[in-house]
Amino acid sequence: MQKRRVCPAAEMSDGDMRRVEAQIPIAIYRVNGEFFATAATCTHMDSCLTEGYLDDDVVECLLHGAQFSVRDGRALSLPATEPLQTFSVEVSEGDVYVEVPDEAS
Amino acid sequence: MSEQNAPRKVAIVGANLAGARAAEALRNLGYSGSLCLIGEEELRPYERPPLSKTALEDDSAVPQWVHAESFYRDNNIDLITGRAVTSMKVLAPRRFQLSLSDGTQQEADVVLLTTGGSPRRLSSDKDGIVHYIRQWEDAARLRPQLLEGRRVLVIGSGFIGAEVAATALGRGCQVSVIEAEPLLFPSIPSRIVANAMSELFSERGATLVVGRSVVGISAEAGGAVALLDDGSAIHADIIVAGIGIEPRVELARMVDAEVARGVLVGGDFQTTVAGLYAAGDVCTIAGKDGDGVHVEHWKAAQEQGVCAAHAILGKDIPPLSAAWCWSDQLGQRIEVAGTPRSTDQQVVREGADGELCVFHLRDGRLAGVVSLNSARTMRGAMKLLEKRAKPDVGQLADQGIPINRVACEE
Repeated sequence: MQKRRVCPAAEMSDGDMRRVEAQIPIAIYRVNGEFFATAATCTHMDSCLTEGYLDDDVVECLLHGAQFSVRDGRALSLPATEPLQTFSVEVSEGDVYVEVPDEAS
Repeated sequence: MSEQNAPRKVAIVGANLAGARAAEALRNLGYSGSLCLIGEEELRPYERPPLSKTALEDDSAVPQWVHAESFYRDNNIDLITGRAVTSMKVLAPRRFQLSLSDGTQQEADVVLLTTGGSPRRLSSDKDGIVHYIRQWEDAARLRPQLLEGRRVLVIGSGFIGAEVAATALGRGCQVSVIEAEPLLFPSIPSRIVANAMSELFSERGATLVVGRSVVGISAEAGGAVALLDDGSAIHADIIVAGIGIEPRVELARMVDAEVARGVLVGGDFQTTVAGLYAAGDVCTIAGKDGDGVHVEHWKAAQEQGVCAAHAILGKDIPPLSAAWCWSDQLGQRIEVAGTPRSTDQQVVREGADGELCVFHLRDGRLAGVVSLNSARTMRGAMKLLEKRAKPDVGQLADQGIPINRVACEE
Protein backbone atom coordinates (compact mmCIF):
# COMPACT_ATOMS: atom_id res chain seq x y z
CA MET A 1 0.00 0.00 0.00
CA GLN A 2 1.15 3.52 -0.64
CA LYS A 3 -0.34 6.84 0.39
CA ARG A 4 -1.58 9.03 -2.41
CA ARG A 5 -2.46 12.70 -1.99
CA VAL A 6 -5.94 13.36 -3.40
CA CYS A 7 -6.62 17.07 -2.96
CA PRO A 8 -6.82 19.76 -0.29
CA ALA A 9 -9.60 18.77 2.09
CA ALA A 10 -11.16 22.19 1.65
CA GLU A 11 -11.81 21.42 -2.02
CA MET A 12 -14.43 18.83 -1.13
CA SER A 13 -17.75 19.75 0.46
CA ASP A 14 -20.25 17.38 2.02
CA GLY A 15 -21.82 15.29 -0.73
CA ASP A 16 -18.82 15.66 -3.04
CA MET A 17 -17.13 12.73 -4.73
CA ARG A 18 -13.79 12.48 -6.43
CA ARG A 19 -12.23 9.75 -8.54
CA VAL A 20 -8.62 8.70 -8.05
CA GLU A 21 -6.94 6.80 -10.87
CA ALA A 22 -5.05 3.80 -9.54
CA GLN A 23 -4.72 0.15 -10.43
CA ILE A 24 -8.21 -0.10 -9.00
CA PRO A 25 -9.95 3.27 -9.57
CA ILE A 26 -10.96 4.70 -6.21
CA ALA A 27 -13.85 6.96 -5.22
CA ILE A 28 -13.40 9.46 -2.38
CA TYR A 29 -16.54 10.72 -0.64
CA ARG A 30 -17.13 13.46 1.90
CA VAL A 31 -20.08 12.86 4.24
CA ASN A 32 -20.82 15.24 7.14
CA GLY A 33 -17.20 16.26 7.37
CA GLU A 34 -15.84 12.70 7.21
CA PHE A 35 -13.98 11.18 4.27
CA PHE A 36 -14.48 7.66 2.93
CA ALA A 37 -12.97 5.71 0.03
CA THR A 38 -14.21 2.70 -1.92
CA ALA A 39 -13.53 1.12 -5.29
CA ALA A 40 -15.05 3.47 -7.86
CA THR A 41 -16.54 0.81 -10.13
CA CYS A 42 -19.99 -0.59 -9.43
CA THR A 43 -19.87 -4.34 -8.73
CA HIS A 44 -22.85 -4.92 -11.02
CA MET A 45 -21.60 -3.48 -14.32
CA ASP A 46 -18.71 -1.29 -15.41
CA SER A 47 -19.94 2.11 -14.28
CA CYS A 48 -18.17 4.81 -12.29
CA LEU A 49 -19.80 5.58 -8.95
CA THR A 50 -18.42 9.13 -8.74
CA GLU A 51 -20.76 9.90 -11.64
CA GLY A 52 -23.52 8.57 -9.41
CA TYR A 53 -25.62 10.03 -6.63
CA LEU A 54 -24.34 10.43 -3.09
CA ASP A 55 -27.03 10.83 -0.47
CA ASP A 56 -25.69 10.93 3.07
CA ASP A 57 -23.42 7.85 3.29
CA VAL A 58 -25.07 5.92 0.45
CA VAL A 59 -23.76 6.09 -3.08
CA GLU A 60 -26.05 5.03 -5.87
CA CYS A 61 -24.98 3.99 -9.36
CA LEU A 62 -26.65 6.00 -12.09
CA LEU A 63 -26.85 3.12 -14.54
CA HIS A 64 -29.17 0.76 -12.67
CA GLY A 65 -29.59 2.10 -9.14
CA ALA A 66 -27.30 -0.24 -7.18
CA GLN A 67 -26.67 1.29 -3.73
CA PHE A 68 -23.62 0.91 -1.50
CA SER A 69 -22.63 2.17 1.93
CA VAL A 70 -19.54 4.32 1.48
CA ARG A 71 -18.58 3.51 5.11
CA ASP A 72 -18.00 -0.21 4.64
CA GLY A 73 -18.71 -0.86 0.94
CA ARG A 74 -21.73 -3.06 1.68
CA ALA A 75 -24.17 -3.59 -1.21
CA LEU A 76 -27.50 -2.19 -0.01
CA SER A 77 -29.75 -2.85 -2.98
CA LEU A 78 -30.09 -4.89 -6.13
CA PRO A 79 -28.70 -5.27 -8.71
CA ALA A 80 -25.54 -5.27 -6.60
CA THR A 81 -24.91 -8.14 -4.20
CA GLU A 82 -21.11 -7.96 -4.06
CA PRO A 83 -19.57 -5.31 -1.77
CA LEU A 84 -17.15 -2.60 -2.87
CA GLN A 85 -13.56 -2.80 -1.69
CA THR A 86 -12.80 -0.02 0.81
CA PHE A 87 -9.59 1.96 1.33
CA SER A 88 -8.14 3.93 4.22
CA VAL A 89 -8.44 7.65 3.85
CA GLU A 90 -7.16 10.39 6.12
CA VAL A 91 -6.69 14.14 6.29
CA SER A 92 -3.19 15.26 7.11
CA GLU A 93 -2.11 18.90 7.25
CA GLY A 94 -5.17 19.94 5.30
CA ASP A 95 -4.81 17.39 2.49
CA VAL A 96 -6.80 14.23 1.81
CA TYR A 97 -4.71 11.05 1.44
CA VAL A 98 -5.85 7.60 0.39
CA GLU A 99 -3.99 4.30 0.67
CA VAL A 100 -3.82 2.75 -2.77
CA PRO A 101 -2.64 -0.79 -3.55
CA ASP A 102 0.87 -1.07 -4.95
CA GLU A 103 0.87 -0.94 -8.75
CA ALA A 104 2.87 -4.12 -9.13
CA SER A 105 0.63 -6.29 -6.95
CA MET B 1 -43.34 -20.72 9.43
CA SER B 2 -41.12 -22.61 11.83
CA GLU B 3 -37.95 -24.34 10.72
CA GLN B 4 -39.55 -27.79 10.57
CA ASN B 5 -42.13 -26.41 8.17
CA ALA B 6 -39.51 -25.06 5.77
CA PRO B 7 -39.82 -26.79 2.41
CA ARG B 8 -37.58 -29.76 1.76
CA LYS B 9 -37.37 -29.05 -1.92
CA VAL B 10 -37.96 -25.88 -3.90
CA ALA B 11 -38.10 -25.90 -7.70
CA ILE B 12 -37.84 -22.61 -9.57
CA VAL B 13 -39.10 -22.75 -13.13
CA GLY B 14 -37.43 -20.03 -15.18
CA ALA B 15 -33.61 -19.76 -15.11
CA ASN B 16 -33.58 -16.01 -15.66
CA LEU B 17 -33.14 -12.83 -13.64
CA ALA B 18 -36.19 -13.33 -11.40
CA GLY B 19 -35.43 -17.02 -10.90
CA ALA B 20 -31.74 -16.53 -10.18
CA ARG B 21 -32.40 -13.72 -7.70
CA ALA B 22 -34.98 -15.89 -5.95
CA ALA B 23 -32.51 -18.79 -5.70
CA GLU B 24 -29.81 -16.45 -4.39
CA ALA B 25 -32.18 -14.98 -1.81
CA LEU B 26 -33.32 -18.42 -0.61
CA ARG B 27 -29.71 -19.35 0.14
CA ASN B 28 -28.91 -15.93 1.64
CA LEU B 29 -31.90 -16.34 3.94
CA GLY B 30 -30.53 -19.61 5.22
CA TYR B 31 -32.58 -22.14 3.28
CA SER B 32 -30.49 -25.30 3.17
CA GLY B 33 -32.91 -27.72 1.52
CA SER B 34 -32.85 -28.96 -2.03
CA LEU B 35 -33.10 -26.23 -4.68
CA CYS B 36 -33.27 -26.53 -8.43
CA LEU B 37 -33.48 -23.81 -11.09
CA ILE B 38 -34.81 -25.00 -14.42
CA GLY B 39 -34.62 -23.10 -17.71
CA GLU B 40 -35.30 -23.90 -21.33
CA GLU B 41 -32.43 -21.80 -22.68
CA GLU B 42 -29.00 -23.39 -22.82
CA LEU B 43 -27.45 -20.38 -21.09
CA ARG B 44 -27.34 -19.79 -17.37
CA PRO B 45 -29.35 -16.78 -16.16
CA TYR B 46 -28.41 -13.50 -17.81
CA GLU B 47 -29.85 -10.00 -17.98
CA ARG B 48 -32.06 -9.25 -20.98
CA PRO B 49 -31.78 -5.44 -21.30
CA PRO B 50 -28.65 -5.57 -23.51
CA LEU B 51 -30.42 -7.79 -26.08
CA SER B 52 -31.93 -4.82 -27.92
CA LYS B 53 -28.77 -2.73 -27.57
CA THR B 54 -25.17 -3.90 -27.17
CA ALA B 55 -25.98 -7.50 -28.10
CA LEU B 56 -27.10 -6.20 -31.52
CA GLU B 57 -24.11 -4.00 -32.22
CA ASP B 58 -21.09 -5.85 -30.93
CA ASP B 59 -20.03 -9.15 -32.51
CA SER B 60 -17.91 -9.94 -29.47
CA ALA B 61 -20.73 -9.25 -26.98
CA VAL B 62 -21.22 -11.86 -24.28
CA PRO B 63 -24.27 -12.17 -22.05
CA GLN B 64 -24.44 -10.01 -18.92
CA TRP B 65 -24.58 -12.94 -16.50
CA VAL B 66 -26.59 -12.60 -13.31
CA HIS B 67 -24.04 -14.76 -11.49
CA ALA B 68 -20.70 -16.36 -12.21
CA GLU B 69 -20.89 -20.00 -13.24
CA SER B 70 -19.36 -21.08 -9.94
CA PHE B 71 -22.15 -19.37 -7.98
CA TYR B 72 -24.63 -22.18 -8.61
CA ARG B 73 -22.19 -24.90 -7.58
CA ASP B 74 -20.95 -22.96 -4.56
CA ASN B 75 -24.50 -22.43 -3.34
CA ASN B 76 -25.68 -25.96 -4.03
CA ILE B 77 -28.22 -24.83 -6.61
CA ASP B 78 -29.03 -27.50 -9.15
CA LEU B 79 -29.06 -25.45 -12.36
CA ILE B 80 -30.84 -27.37 -15.09
CA THR B 81 -30.58 -25.55 -18.44
CA GLY B 82 -31.68 -26.42 -21.95
CA ARG B 83 -34.77 -28.19 -20.69
CA ALA B 84 -38.31 -26.86 -20.62
CA VAL B 85 -40.87 -27.88 -18.03
CA THR B 86 -43.62 -29.31 -20.20
CA SER B 87 -46.17 -30.14 -17.54
CA MET B 88 -46.96 -29.78 -13.88
CA LYS B 89 -49.21 -31.87 -11.63
CA VAL B 90 -50.31 -31.58 -8.02
CA LEU B 91 -49.66 -35.04 -6.50
CA ALA B 92 -50.91 -34.03 -3.05
CA PRO B 93 -51.32 -30.72 -1.25
CA ARG B 94 -47.93 -28.95 -1.46
CA ARG B 95 -46.48 -31.72 -3.53
CA PHE B 96 -45.79 -30.96 -7.19
CA GLN B 97 -44.45 -33.03 -10.03
CA LEU B 98 -42.73 -31.34 -12.95
CA SER B 99 -42.08 -33.11 -16.24
CA LEU B 100 -39.14 -31.88 -18.26
CA SER B 101 -38.59 -31.95 -22.00
CA ASP B 102 -35.82 -34.55 -21.67
CA GLY B 103 -38.28 -37.01 -20.14
CA THR B 104 -37.03 -36.58 -16.57
CA GLN B 105 -39.14 -35.46 -13.63
CA GLN B 106 -38.65 -33.31 -10.58
CA GLU B 107 -40.78 -33.32 -7.46
CA ALA B 108 -40.93 -30.40 -5.07
CA ASP B 109 -43.11 -29.15 -2.24
CA VAL B 110 -42.74 -25.55 -3.34
CA VAL B 111 -42.67 -24.39 -6.95
CA LEU B 112 -41.86 -20.83 -7.93
CA LEU B 113 -42.84 -19.87 -11.47
CA THR B 114 -40.57 -17.24 -13.00
CA THR B 115 -41.43 -18.25 -16.53
CA GLY B 116 -41.60 -14.66 -17.79
CA GLY B 117 -43.28 -14.01 -21.09
CA SER B 118 -42.90 -14.78 -24.74
CA PRO B 119 -43.04 -12.12 -27.44
CA ARG B 120 -46.48 -11.41 -28.79
CA ARG B 121 -46.50 -12.61 -32.40
CA LEU B 122 -47.98 -10.88 -35.40
CA SER B 123 -50.80 -13.01 -36.74
CA SER B 124 -50.09 -11.63 -40.21
CA ASP B 125 -46.61 -13.17 -40.24
CA LYS B 126 -47.61 -16.50 -41.78
CA ASP B 127 -44.13 -17.40 -43.05
CA GLY B 128 -42.12 -16.64 -39.93
CA ILE B 129 -40.26 -13.73 -41.52
CA VAL B 130 -40.39 -11.44 -38.52
CA HIS B 131 -37.68 -11.28 -35.85
CA TYR B 132 -38.59 -10.99 -32.16
CA ILE B 133 -36.15 -10.19 -29.36
CA ARG B 134 -36.46 -12.02 -26.09
CA GLN B 135 -33.56 -14.43 -25.81
CA TRP B 136 -29.83 -14.16 -26.40
CA GLU B 137 -30.21 -16.38 -29.49
CA ASP B 138 -32.74 -13.96 -30.99
CA ALA B 139 -30.23 -11.13 -30.77
CA ALA B 140 -27.40 -13.34 -32.04
CA ARG B 141 -29.49 -14.25 -35.09
CA LEU B 142 -30.41 -10.64 -35.90
CA ARG B 143 -27.01 -9.05 -35.22
CA PRO B 144 -25.15 -10.17 -38.39
CA GLN B 145 -28.04 -8.99 -40.55
CA LEU B 146 -28.00 -5.37 -39.38
CA LEU B 147 -25.57 -4.24 -42.07
CA GLU B 148 -25.05 -0.76 -43.42
CA GLY B 149 -27.68 0.23 -45.95
CA ARG B 150 -30.08 -2.58 -45.09
CA ARG B 151 -33.73 -1.61 -44.89
CA VAL B 152 -35.03 -2.41 -41.42
CA LEU B 153 -38.71 -2.16 -40.53
CA VAL B 154 -39.46 -2.10 -36.82
CA ILE B 155 -43.05 -2.82 -35.84
CA GLY B 156 -43.96 -1.28 -32.50
CA SER B 157 -42.33 1.74 -30.82
CA GLY B 158 -42.28 0.53 -27.23
CA PHE B 159 -38.90 0.33 -25.52
CA ILE B 160 -37.80 -2.82 -27.35
CA GLY B 161 -38.83 -1.56 -30.78
CA ALA B 162 -37.33 1.88 -30.21
CA GLU B 163 -34.05 0.42 -28.95
CA VAL B 164 -33.76 -1.95 -31.90
CA ALA B 165 -34.52 0.95 -34.26
CA ALA B 166 -31.90 3.12 -32.56
CA THR B 167 -29.29 0.37 -32.69
CA ALA B 168 -30.03 -0.29 -36.37
CA LEU B 169 -29.67 3.44 -37.13
CA GLY B 170 -26.34 3.38 -35.33
CA ARG B 171 -25.22 0.57 -37.62
CA GLY B 172 -26.13 2.56 -40.71
CA CYS B 173 -29.36 0.78 -41.60
CA GLN B 174 -32.30 2.55 -43.25
CA VAL B 175 -34.90 2.35 -40.52
CA SER B 176 -38.67 2.67 -40.56
CA VAL B 177 -40.75 2.43 -37.40
CA ILE B 178 -44.47 1.76 -37.46
CA GLU B 179 -46.67 2.34 -34.44
CA ALA B 180 -50.31 1.24 -34.32
CA GLU B 181 -51.19 3.71 -31.55
CA PRO B 182 -51.97 7.30 -32.57
CA LEU B 183 -48.79 8.56 -30.87
CA LEU B 184 -45.22 7.26 -30.98
CA PHE B 185 -43.44 5.73 -28.00
CA PRO B 186 -46.39 4.58 -25.87
CA SER B 187 -43.96 3.42 -23.16
CA ILE B 188 -43.05 7.05 -22.42
CA PRO B 189 -45.97 8.47 -20.42
CA SER B 190 -44.88 12.09 -20.92
CA ARG B 191 -45.57 13.65 -24.34
CA ILE B 192 -42.80 16.20 -23.98
CA VAL B 193 -40.19 13.45 -23.57
CA ALA B 194 -41.77 11.27 -26.26
CA ASN B 195 -41.81 14.20 -28.68
CA ALA B 196 -38.16 14.96 -27.99
CA MET B 197 -37.34 11.35 -28.93
CA SER B 198 -39.52 11.51 -32.08
CA GLU B 199 -37.61 14.55 -33.25
CA LEU B 200 -34.31 12.85 -32.62
CA PHE B 201 -35.29 9.69 -34.51
CA SER B 202 -36.43 11.85 -37.45
CA GLU B 203 -33.19 13.85 -37.39
CA ARG B 204 -31.21 10.61 -37.52
CA GLY B 205 -33.11 9.63 -40.64
CA ALA B 206 -35.73 7.19 -39.40
CA THR B 207 -39.09 7.09 -41.14
CA LEU B 208 -41.81 7.18 -38.49
CA VAL B 209 -45.33 5.96 -39.29
CA VAL B 210 -48.02 6.34 -36.63
CA GLY B 211 -51.59 5.12 -36.29
CA ARG B 212 -51.14 2.35 -38.86
CA SER B 213 -51.16 -1.40 -38.34
CA VAL B 214 -49.57 -4.16 -40.33
CA VAL B 215 -52.16 -6.42 -41.93
CA GLY B 216 -49.97 -8.64 -44.03
CA ILE B 217 -46.35 -9.70 -44.29
CA SER B 218 -44.86 -11.63 -47.17
CA ALA B 219 -41.55 -12.43 -48.72
CA GLU B 220 -40.55 -10.77 -51.96
CA ALA B 221 -37.42 -10.86 -54.09
CA GLY B 222 -34.55 -9.62 -51.94
CA GLY B 223 -36.56 -9.07 -48.78
CA ALA B 224 -40.06 -8.76 -47.42
CA VAL B 225 -43.02 -6.45 -47.67
CA ALA B 226 -45.40 -5.32 -44.95
CA LEU B 227 -48.90 -4.28 -46.01
CA LEU B 228 -50.51 -1.61 -43.88
CA ASP B 229 -54.18 -1.07 -43.06
CA ASP B 230 -54.34 2.01 -45.30
CA GLY B 231 -53.34 -0.05 -48.33
CA SER B 232 -49.76 1.20 -48.43
CA ALA B 233 -46.72 -1.06 -48.23
CA ILE B 234 -43.26 -0.88 -46.68
CA HIS B 235 -40.48 -2.86 -48.31
CA ALA B 236 -37.66 -4.06 -46.09
CA ASP B 237 -34.76 -6.47 -45.86
CA ILE B 238 -35.39 -7.21 -42.21
CA ILE B 239 -38.57 -6.91 -40.14
CA VAL B 240 -38.41 -6.84 -36.34
CA ALA B 241 -41.47 -6.64 -34.10
CA GLY B 242 -41.63 -5.49 -30.48
CA ILE B 243 -45.29 -5.47 -29.66
CA GLY B 244 -45.29 -6.73 -26.09
CA ILE B 245 -45.19 -10.09 -24.38
CA GLU B 246 -47.65 -12.72 -23.30
CA PRO B 247 -47.01 -14.05 -19.78
CA ARG B 248 -46.12 -17.77 -19.80
CA VAL B 249 -49.04 -18.96 -17.72
CA GLU B 250 -49.44 -22.47 -19.21
CA LEU B 251 -48.04 -24.37 -16.22
CA ALA B 252 -50.18 -22.43 -13.77
CA ARG B 253 -53.27 -23.26 -15.79
CA MET B 254 -52.42 -26.98 -15.68
CA VAL B 255 -52.92 -26.96 -11.90
CA ASP B 256 -55.93 -24.62 -12.05
CA ALA B 257 -54.20 -21.62 -10.51
CA GLU B 258 -56.16 -18.45 -11.17
CA VAL B 259 -54.85 -16.36 -14.04
CA ALA B 260 -55.56 -12.67 -14.72
CA ARG B 261 -53.23 -11.12 -17.28
CA GLY B 262 -50.51 -13.06 -15.53
CA VAL B 263 -50.68 -15.74 -12.86
CA LEU B 264 -52.58 -14.13 -10.01
CA VAL B 265 -50.63 -13.85 -6.75
CA GLY B 266 -51.26 -12.22 -3.39
CA GLY B 267 -48.88 -9.89 -1.60
CA ASP B 268 -46.94 -13.03 -0.62
CA PHE B 269 -46.45 -14.02 -4.29
CA GLN B 270 -48.38 -17.22 -3.69
CA THR B 271 -50.87 -18.22 -6.36
CA THR B 272 -54.32 -19.57 -5.58
CA VAL B 273 -52.70 -23.02 -5.33
CA ALA B 274 -50.97 -23.58 -1.97
CA GLY B 275 -47.22 -23.94 -2.34
CA LEU B 276 -47.19 -22.54 -5.88
CA TYR B 277 -45.62 -19.09 -6.17
CA ALA B 278 -45.01 -16.77 -9.11
CA ALA B 279 -42.80 -13.71 -9.57
CA GLY B 280 -41.60 -11.41 -12.33
CA ASP B 281 -43.15 -10.81 -15.74
CA VAL B 282 -45.40 -13.86 -15.40
CA CYS B 283 -47.32 -12.70 -12.32
CA THR B 284 -50.07 -10.23 -11.63
CA ILE B 285 -50.22 -9.03 -8.03
CA ALA B 286 -53.83 -8.84 -6.84
CA GLY B 287 -54.80 -5.32 -5.77
CA LYS B 288 -56.98 -4.39 -2.83
CA ASP B 289 -59.77 -3.14 -5.06
CA GLY B 290 -59.59 -5.87 -7.65
CA ASP B 291 -57.17 -4.18 -10.03
CA GLY B 292 -53.97 -6.15 -10.34
CA VAL B 293 -50.45 -4.82 -10.62
CA HIS B 294 -48.54 -6.29 -13.51
CA VAL B 295 -45.03 -5.04 -14.16
CA GLU B 296 -42.81 -6.30 -16.95
CA HIS B 297 -39.52 -4.67 -16.11
CA TRP B 298 -36.03 -5.65 -15.04
CA LYS B 299 -36.08 -4.07 -11.59
CA ALA B 300 -39.43 -5.53 -10.58
CA ALA B 301 -38.43 -8.99 -11.82
CA GLN B 302 -35.51 -9.29 -9.42
CA GLU B 303 -37.23 -7.64 -6.48
CA GLN B 304 -40.23 -9.88 -6.81
CA GLY B 305 -37.96 -12.93 -6.99
CA VAL B 306 -36.39 -11.87 -3.70
CA CYS B 307 -39.80 -11.17 -2.12
CA ALA B 308 -41.10 -14.58 -3.16
CA ALA B 309 -38.05 -16.21 -1.53
CA HIS B 310 -38.90 -14.47 1.74
CA ALA B 311 -42.51 -15.61 1.51
CA ILE B 312 -41.54 -19.20 0.72
CA LEU B 313 -39.49 -19.32 3.93
CA GLY B 314 -42.21 -17.63 5.99
CA LYS B 315 -40.13 -14.51 6.54
CA ASP B 316 -41.33 -10.90 6.51
CA ILE B 317 -41.53 -9.75 2.92
CA PRO B 318 -39.50 -6.62 2.16
CA PRO B 319 -41.56 -3.81 0.65
CA LEU B 320 -41.27 -3.36 -3.10
CA SER B 321 -39.46 -0.16 -3.99
CA ALA B 322 -40.86 2.39 -6.44
CA ALA B 323 -41.28 1.02 -9.94
CA TRP B 324 -38.48 2.07 -12.27
CA CYS B 325 -37.36 1.29 -15.77
CA TRP B 326 -35.01 2.80 -18.30
CA SER B 327 -34.30 2.76 -21.99
CA ASP B 328 -31.16 3.78 -23.83
CA GLN B 329 -31.80 5.05 -27.35
CA LEU B 330 -29.61 7.14 -29.67
CA GLY B 331 -27.27 8.01 -26.83
CA GLN B 332 -30.16 9.28 -24.71
CA ARG B 333 -31.37 7.78 -21.48
CA ILE B 334 -35.08 7.69 -20.80
CA GLU B 335 -36.24 6.75 -17.29
CA VAL B 336 -39.73 6.17 -15.96
CA ALA B 337 -40.38 5.86 -12.22
CA GLY B 338 -43.54 5.36 -10.21
CA THR B 339 -46.87 5.41 -12.02
CA PRO B 340 -46.96 8.56 -14.16
CA ARG B 341 -50.22 9.14 -16.03
CA SER B 342 -51.11 11.62 -18.73
CA THR B 343 -53.89 13.01 -16.51
CA ASP B 344 -51.45 14.04 -13.73
CA GLN B 345 -50.35 17.61 -13.04
CA GLN B 346 -46.97 17.76 -14.80
CA VAL B 347 -44.08 19.94 -13.69
CA VAL B 348 -41.14 20.25 -16.06
CA ARG B 349 -37.53 20.83 -15.01
CA GLU B 350 -35.23 21.56 -17.92
CA GLY B 351 -31.49 21.42 -17.47
CA ALA B 352 -28.48 21.91 -19.66
CA ASP B 353 -27.57 19.58 -22.54
CA GLY B 354 -31.00 18.17 -23.22
CA GLU B 355 -31.75 17.23 -19.62
CA LEU B 356 -35.46 17.02 -19.08
CA CYS B 357 -37.37 15.83 -16.06
CA VAL B 358 -41.16 15.70 -15.89
CA PHE B 359 -42.64 15.31 -12.41
CA HIS B 360 -46.14 13.87 -12.25
CA LEU B 361 -48.18 15.06 -9.27
CA ARG B 362 -51.46 13.53 -8.18
CA ASP B 363 -53.31 15.42 -5.44
CA GLY B 364 -50.11 17.36 -4.91
CA ARG B 365 -48.07 14.23 -4.20
CA LEU B 366 -45.29 12.98 -6.44
CA ALA B 367 -46.68 9.90 -8.22
CA GLY B 368 -44.29 9.46 -11.10
CA VAL B 369 -41.28 10.88 -12.90
CA VAL B 370 -40.31 10.67 -16.56
CA SER B 371 -36.86 11.88 -17.48
CA LEU B 372 -34.45 12.29 -20.33
CA ASN B 373 -30.71 12.34 -19.55
CA SER B 374 -31.35 13.31 -15.93
CA ALA B 375 -30.16 10.21 -14.12
CA ARG B 376 -28.89 12.08 -11.08
CA THR B 377 -32.08 14.10 -10.61
CA MET B 378 -34.01 10.87 -11.09
CA ARG B 379 -32.13 9.17 -8.23
CA GLY B 380 -33.13 11.97 -5.89
CA ALA B 381 -36.66 12.12 -7.24
CA MET B 382 -37.15 8.43 -6.53
CA LYS B 383 -36.51 9.07 -2.85
CA LEU B 384 -39.27 11.69 -2.89
CA LEU B 385 -41.46 9.23 -4.76
CA GLU B 386 -40.98 6.53 -2.14
CA LYS B 387 -41.93 9.03 0.57
CA ARG B 388 -45.00 10.09 -1.46
CA ALA B 389 -43.74 13.63 -0.89
CA LYS B 390 -45.71 16.81 -1.57
CA PRO B 391 -42.96 18.91 -3.15
CA ASP B 392 -43.04 22.65 -3.75
CA VAL B 393 -43.98 23.02 -7.41
CA GLY B 394 -41.89 26.12 -8.03
CA GLN B 395 -38.75 24.53 -6.59
CA LEU B 396 -39.41 21.31 -8.46
CA ALA B 397 -39.26 23.21 -11.75
CA ASP B 398 -36.12 25.12 -10.76
CA GLN B 399 -33.03 23.34 -12.05
CA GLY B 400 -30.91 25.54 -9.78
CA ILE B 401 -32.24 23.70 -6.71
CA PRO B 402 -30.81 20.19 -6.25
CA ILE B 403 -33.62 17.68 -6.08
CA ASN B 404 -32.78 16.63 -2.51
CA ARG B 405 -33.11 20.27 -1.36
CA VAL B 406 -36.60 20.79 -2.77
CA ALA B 407 -38.96 21.76 0.04
CA CYS B 408 -41.69 19.23 0.77
CA GLU B 409 -44.87 19.65 2.77
CA GLU B 410 -45.29 17.05 5.50
